[in-house]
Amino acid sequence: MLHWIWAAVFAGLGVFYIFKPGCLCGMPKFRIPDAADRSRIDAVLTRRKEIERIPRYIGLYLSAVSFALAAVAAFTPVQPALLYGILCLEIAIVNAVTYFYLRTAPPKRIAVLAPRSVGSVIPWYWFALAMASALAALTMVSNTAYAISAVVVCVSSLFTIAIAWRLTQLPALLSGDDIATEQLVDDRARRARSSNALVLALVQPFVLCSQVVDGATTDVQLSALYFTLAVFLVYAIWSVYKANAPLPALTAQ
Amino acid sequence: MSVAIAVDPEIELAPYQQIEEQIRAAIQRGDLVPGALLPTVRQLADDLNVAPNTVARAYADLQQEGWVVSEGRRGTRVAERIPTTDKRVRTGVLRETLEHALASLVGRGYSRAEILAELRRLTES
Repeated sequence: MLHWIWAAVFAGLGVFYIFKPGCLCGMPKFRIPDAADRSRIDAVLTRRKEIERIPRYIGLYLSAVSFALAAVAAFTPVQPALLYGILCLEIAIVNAVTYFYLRTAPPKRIAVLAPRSVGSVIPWYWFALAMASALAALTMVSNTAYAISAVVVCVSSLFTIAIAWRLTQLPALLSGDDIATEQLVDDRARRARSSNALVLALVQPFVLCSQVVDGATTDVQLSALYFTLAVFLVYAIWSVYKANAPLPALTAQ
Repeated sequence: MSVAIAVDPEIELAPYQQIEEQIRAAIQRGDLVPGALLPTVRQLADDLNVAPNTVARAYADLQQEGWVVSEGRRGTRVAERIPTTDKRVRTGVLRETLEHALASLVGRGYSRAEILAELRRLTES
């Protein structure tokens, strides 16, 4: 039964990535009441999309992997937790490829003279908690059946945290046509992308722990489950709150 | 207010000089206020797609001239007392800025007469 549930989950993800191939690197939504500001932001988003050129195949690749894992989960005795670990690793790799595309987007040689730090995008303590959460997955190693899965998920989560960190430091992508709007979009995009990566890093150890925990788990493993759940939930709420913070008024062009 | 600078690879001025000039001009215009923190060398180099040494050299020159002060790991700030009273520096900055603008405009196909006429119109308005 568990195999079929996981097969359905993997297949569902496969379908999701077909319809949302850019979900790992997409732009945040901008709720702008002012029509003039909206048209300026739309223009900047269009230009930015042309510059970044993140290929659609990234999402489609993830979709293909998800369908393959669904088939393996449904028709072979391979443990679903291990397949989940493989999916986490694939997502981490896709995140890294996306980062590479963003890092090497054609430079415009324009910069704003304002300092930027990792902490101004995502406070450092979230990275520390995310690392603790990733390492918490290792408490499941004592359960022999899940040992490899726990290590794979931990590595994948740590790798994703590193990418989230790097995403906070992406170079600004400005064309110089409307600096104020471009800077606002750049800041929001940087925060949204690094935040998405961190959410993915946080959900991985929690999902693994929830698979392992049953009547025979130790107190340490149970604590790891609650810890990973708490960090994931609190961060998700914090990131949604930040993403919906009102936009500052745009200055004249 | 966002102060943006650019490095144009097509003009003859070296990238570090372009950076220097634009930061100096922003301070003189008052767009960068005394005490304002500048981006780190790494950040500015990444954004402008130049080598970190290029930005480091620009910052070092500006520091030597008294426009900015380095606070070690805390970063580089616009100096509290910028050398605005130094007539030689002021003239030098003005000349360099105009030369840069002139070279850029000539490079884009504007004639000197056109530039002069527009400059006259702007200063008289």
